[in-house]
Amino acid sequence: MITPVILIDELKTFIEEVVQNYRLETNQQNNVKPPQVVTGYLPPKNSGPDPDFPFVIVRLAEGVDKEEGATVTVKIIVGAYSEDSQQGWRDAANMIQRIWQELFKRRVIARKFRVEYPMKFEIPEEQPYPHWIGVMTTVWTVAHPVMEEVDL
Amino acid sequence: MFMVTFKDFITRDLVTFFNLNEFAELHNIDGREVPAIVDSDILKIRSDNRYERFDGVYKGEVTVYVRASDFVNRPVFGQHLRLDGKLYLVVECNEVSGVLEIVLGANES
Repeated sequence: MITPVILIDELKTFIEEVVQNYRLETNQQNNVKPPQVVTGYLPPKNSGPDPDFPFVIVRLAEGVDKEEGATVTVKIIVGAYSEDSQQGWRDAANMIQRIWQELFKRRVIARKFRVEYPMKFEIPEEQPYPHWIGVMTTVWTVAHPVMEEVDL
Repeated sequence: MFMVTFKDFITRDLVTFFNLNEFAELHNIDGREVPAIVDSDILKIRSDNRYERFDGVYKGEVTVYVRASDFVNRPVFGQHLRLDGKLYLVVECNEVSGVLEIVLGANES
């Protein structure tokens, strides 16, 4: 099946591979790590030792179904942490660049999901320093429900 | 005739206010140990405006009272200030009768 939920899960796996070699800052000194990749939303807050940042969130945002086909919009939200204001936004931008490059090099992931143009990204001017956020907006072709002949 | 004014009393009271055996405690502010009174830390969501909300980030706010004479320069809006090792941004700074009231905000995760 080519459902939006399966797309999100496949995209998570794809992005995990893309960012696995990153070593990004956290809010803990001397703790650098690849971003955690989560679907939907970050897990609920707790007082545990695992920092939320850096992260990539793969979030299903909206869908459109027309006669010619169905598409869904998936937001890919990247989050980096750095007290260095010359480094933080670069880390966020580099994650976006890398995911963008790998997605459009292949166009199709898991042999069934096709990413469409245009892709947009934004790095908001207002940033929650020392956290740095960027948002990619991607559009994907998904299964299009077709009318069945039914005997009444 | 010599008159003691209310302002004189306030200035004199600062000694008590910032006495380490009374109200104040030593806090590390930007690497210096300074007698200060730190008001409780309030954690809240970043903003009610959804465009200013960010995944995984919440806002912490704390108010610090210090003697103005303990600072060479009065902190300004947006300045980075490290209180007891934690990085904050100056949200507000008022000076009243020799006391700096510094409101500090931090985006936490």
